Amino acid sequence: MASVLRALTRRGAEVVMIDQRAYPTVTGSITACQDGASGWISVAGCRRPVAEFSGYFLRPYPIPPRYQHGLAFHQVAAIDQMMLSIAETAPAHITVVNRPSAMASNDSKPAQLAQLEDLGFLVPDTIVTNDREVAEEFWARHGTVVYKSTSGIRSIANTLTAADLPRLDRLATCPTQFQEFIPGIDYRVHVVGDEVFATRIVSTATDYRYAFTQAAERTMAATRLPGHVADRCQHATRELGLLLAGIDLRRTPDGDWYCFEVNTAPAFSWFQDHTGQPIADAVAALLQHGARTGSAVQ
Amino acid sequence: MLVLAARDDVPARMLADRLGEAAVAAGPQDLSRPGWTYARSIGRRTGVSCRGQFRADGLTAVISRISAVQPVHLTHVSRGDRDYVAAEMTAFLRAWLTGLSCPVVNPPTATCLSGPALTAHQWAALCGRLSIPARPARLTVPAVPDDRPAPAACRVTVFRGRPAAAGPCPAVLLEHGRRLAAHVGAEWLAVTFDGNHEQAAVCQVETWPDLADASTREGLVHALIGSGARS
Repeated sequence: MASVLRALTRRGAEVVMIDQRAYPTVTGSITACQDGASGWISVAGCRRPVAEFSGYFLRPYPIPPRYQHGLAFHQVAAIDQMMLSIAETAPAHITVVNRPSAMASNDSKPAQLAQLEDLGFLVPDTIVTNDREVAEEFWARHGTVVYKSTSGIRSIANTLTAADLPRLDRLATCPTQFQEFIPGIDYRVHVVGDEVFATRIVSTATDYRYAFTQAAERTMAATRLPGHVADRCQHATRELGLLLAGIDLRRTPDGDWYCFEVNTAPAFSWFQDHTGQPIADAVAALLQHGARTGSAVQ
Repeated sequence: MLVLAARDDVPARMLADRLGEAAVAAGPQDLSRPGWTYARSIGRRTGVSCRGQFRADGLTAVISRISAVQPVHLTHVSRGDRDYVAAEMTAFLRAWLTGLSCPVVNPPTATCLSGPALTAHQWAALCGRLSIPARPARLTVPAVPDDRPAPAACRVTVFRGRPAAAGPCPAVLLEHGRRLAAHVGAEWLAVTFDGNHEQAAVCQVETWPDLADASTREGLVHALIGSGARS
């Protein structure tokens, strides 16, 4: 959020920042009807018609703990609902990064994975089960298996080992996601409108994000994707209703490209800091001017 | 048929009782009985109720009454883990319910396990995009009570793409209902119009059948039976 705000400011864009931590200062009224929508938002006493906004950049978080009880919760929840509704119902010519319903697609990783497979990606064989026998059969079939969270809650992907066998009885409480292990090199691809930024990550960790906590190594560098892979990433981003996506790919030693997930509110700053890719600038340009026609691969 | 509902959902229990032996009821607590599996292939998906394991490809219909698994329904889970388990179970069910070959009332969306959960504001905006007349819907913060009367002159119910109305209803209103249901992917949807003439406007849309109402419950049972599900 901060990097996008800085980029917009450098570009001379007029920005209204709505900080969820300052929610009680937000009021508004919006009306939708068959002829369109109208209304206004007020932040700290400054009222703006919604028709003035050319773009929205959303990074919603759960309601802050200090507002989670009583009257404050209801007011804050109402503000959340109003802001999300404005973004969701904004006309097509308004740039929304990203619409709330599209952002929810990776709240179920296996459901999104099925969509990605339908969109032409290779995806790892995946089950979600609370049945120990099913999990063990899947493990025996694939030899090496990774387990991770099923929802959008961040988890550390781990490889199943013999040390986990005693814990498998606890599977019954809650279905858990298991995936065949796909060997290869990780790529994180940020699609911003018509632009594609790819980062190649080499790591000995199962989950490169936690390489240092797993005593593993990691190197990251900007790279260029094969055209057909970049095209597929852009196509998937559009089909999922997104203008900004962070796509997790892995290229196997045989040259196959597997997709694990499309992050709908990607934390791109970390990749930008490591590679120098101007992702925040691209997001700012997208918010100001919308998606260009054609494609640009960087 | 699978009735997916929390144990305290009395109307869902009434439906399950009405369906008798043809229905299995399962809820959040049952997701902790070993035997639930999601796989890409529907033939490998299984579930568990108090009556034992069942296969997803053996279901003739699903009535989904859970919008999301809530921590309050997971009293058998240690308190510190309930939020996480609720999120995981919701994600699991969304995948499990997606793509089933039988009717699902209503199929999950990215934001709700029991079908589209749009606000009145969002329905009004959608009607605008589809060129369907709709009464204005206002959202304000702080909330302002809406004192306008909500006339309910004509109600169109759509099941599996077929609209029907209890009384006189112009064909164009039936078509509005059908188009709305098709656009949001709902197997079951009810639209209330503020008149029973061709220029009537949408004033309410429901995607959650009121199973506490006997006529709605019976209508759903007969519709499911008519679609091939058995009772």
